[in-house]
Amino acid sequence: MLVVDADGALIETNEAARRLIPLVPGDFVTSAAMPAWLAAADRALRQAGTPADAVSGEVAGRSFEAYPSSCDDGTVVWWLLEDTDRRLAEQALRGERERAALLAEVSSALLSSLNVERCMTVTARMAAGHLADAAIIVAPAQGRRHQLTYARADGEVTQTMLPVEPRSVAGLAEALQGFPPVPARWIDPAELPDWAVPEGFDGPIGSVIVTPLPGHGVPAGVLILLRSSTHQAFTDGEEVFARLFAARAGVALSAARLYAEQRSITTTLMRDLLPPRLERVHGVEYAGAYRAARDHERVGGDFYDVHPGTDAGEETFVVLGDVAGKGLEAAVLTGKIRSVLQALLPLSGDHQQVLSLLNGALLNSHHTRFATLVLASVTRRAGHVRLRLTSAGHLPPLIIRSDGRVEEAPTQGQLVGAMPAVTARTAHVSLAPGETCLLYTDGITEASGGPLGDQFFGEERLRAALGPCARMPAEAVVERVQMLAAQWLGGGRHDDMATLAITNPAGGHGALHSVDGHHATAARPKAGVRR
Amino acid sequence: MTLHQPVGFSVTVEAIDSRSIRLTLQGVLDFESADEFLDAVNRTLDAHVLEHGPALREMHMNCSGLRLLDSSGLSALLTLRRRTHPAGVTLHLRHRPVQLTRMLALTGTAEYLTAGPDGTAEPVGPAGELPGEAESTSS
Repeated sequence: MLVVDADGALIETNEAARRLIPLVPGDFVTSAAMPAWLAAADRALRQAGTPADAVSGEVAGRSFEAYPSSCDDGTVVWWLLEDTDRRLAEQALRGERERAALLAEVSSALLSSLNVERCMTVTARMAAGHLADAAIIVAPAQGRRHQLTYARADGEVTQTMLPVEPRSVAGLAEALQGFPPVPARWIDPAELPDWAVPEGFDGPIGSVIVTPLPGHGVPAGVLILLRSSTHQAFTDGEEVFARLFAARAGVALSAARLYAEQRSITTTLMRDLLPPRLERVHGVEYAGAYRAARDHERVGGDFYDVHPGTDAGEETFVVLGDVAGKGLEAAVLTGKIRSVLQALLPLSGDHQQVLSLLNGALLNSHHTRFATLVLASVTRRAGHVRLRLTSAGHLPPLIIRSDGRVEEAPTQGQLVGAMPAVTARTAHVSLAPGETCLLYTDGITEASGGPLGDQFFGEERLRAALGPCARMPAEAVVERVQMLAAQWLGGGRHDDMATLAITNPAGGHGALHSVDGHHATAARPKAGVRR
Repeated sequence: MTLHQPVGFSVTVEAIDSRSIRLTLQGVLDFESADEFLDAVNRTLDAHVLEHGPALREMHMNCSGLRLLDSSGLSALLTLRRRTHPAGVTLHLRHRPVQLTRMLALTGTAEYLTAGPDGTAEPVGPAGELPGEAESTSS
């Protein structure tokens, strides 16, 4: 407590005040020993002439608030209250809030990406921006080399692959295995190898933190933080915070890494399940289109394959089918069917035998997941394409004649994979130039939509749509069917949809081999039936 | 007693005695409802075995309310047949709507599904009606 008279001279101080401010009664508040902020407050109070609010400032390295009370004779009593502890607590709280906000920022910035490279870039940039003057992320080894991501406080990030000797930095080998970090004070900055200092890093390094990025069970890498010697060394609090930061970043990084691995596995497995690209074989056009039930998937329960004959005289073996079920599980079964059929290629002269063997291979005591399919054996002779078509429980192929008529191939048989024995009836069909045989799955005819939203596209609409496809190339027929089905669907749900067109090209290049005189009569093809 | 009533599909037990069970199928038997159908029918069969032992011979399914049967629905019927046929139970698919008749004809499964213990299907019309039973419910 200090009492100051109207002239600015001290009248009285108590003992607590004397220990803080070495002034005695008679000294003026303007003297150098008086804290400047208190002297200024005293002056301001006298000039304003009204009671002033409390002021605060430091005295002898401690924090105080000063409350004035004015008397009528111009005397002012200053009550000083220490609030050092409260200020420290507030400062700590503010620091914690900033850190919590930073951690939240780290999580949201990192978890928005499942790209490993991007995660490392963001982590390094944030670490360099908020925690240190530079940051380096050492990714887990790929062989003997590690991917290194460097970031400087100015935001510049670079990545490189280098062979790194983990023992060249104290604590790095341990951190790469996920062991807790060694204290920063154990690491001698002078011993850091060249690779651990980003290019363009100014001046000598003052202090270093090496901390693991803990992932899901395995470390996602190591974070190295550098501070230049012109800055204050890392405090214990900062070191702890660096570990918290690393924990958040590690979770995001390992999620990204796991996702990348899964995606690579899926891509590998899917490669064999994707529908093949089709092209012209021995003068016959083939075109296929496939749309999976779920638009983000590329495989499903429908499949097709074209196995070209070894030469133009050999039959080309075509299959299109549909497995009960959807998604990856169905796709795996299509993979099995396609492999079995490929192995049975030498027997493709006898469709009944192929189907019996396939049926035996698919019979399974666990489930009755069956398949329906159409087999087609195709040859081109004297300008005509001859087809042997066998349906195993599948929608019969449609034949688009060159005059626009659409016929159903007279083939019928039992589905495969559910019954102990299967039989099927093969149809023999001949295609004149400009004619197409269309194989399709029920995803097309059962596309649900239309003006009322719940009607099937249906076989009648499909046949009507195919009429105008006479003399069109295979590619165009397939595109038209898929487009019409998609339009019919609108945004509605649908099953897998597959179409495959086998076309005897109309005139032009396709007819190069057809030097026969049968064109006129060939328009009436022979569609025989054989049991 | 309605065993299960998900959106769009239900199986109802109409009558039950020691030798036969009569079910009514309603709605869409597809990928979504196939498992529910099998669960419901299997529970009914389990309960029947507990009460009557292996006495069951016939399982009649009234299909007139079946709006759609897709490949997963057909797969469910085939799975059911795997249980009933070895147990000497004959499946009867009655009052088949056009779509079901067509599906069974296309896939060649009608005779197999409804085959009796001696392997022969009883003589039924195209819609699964018994001789003398009114051909009625094709929708």
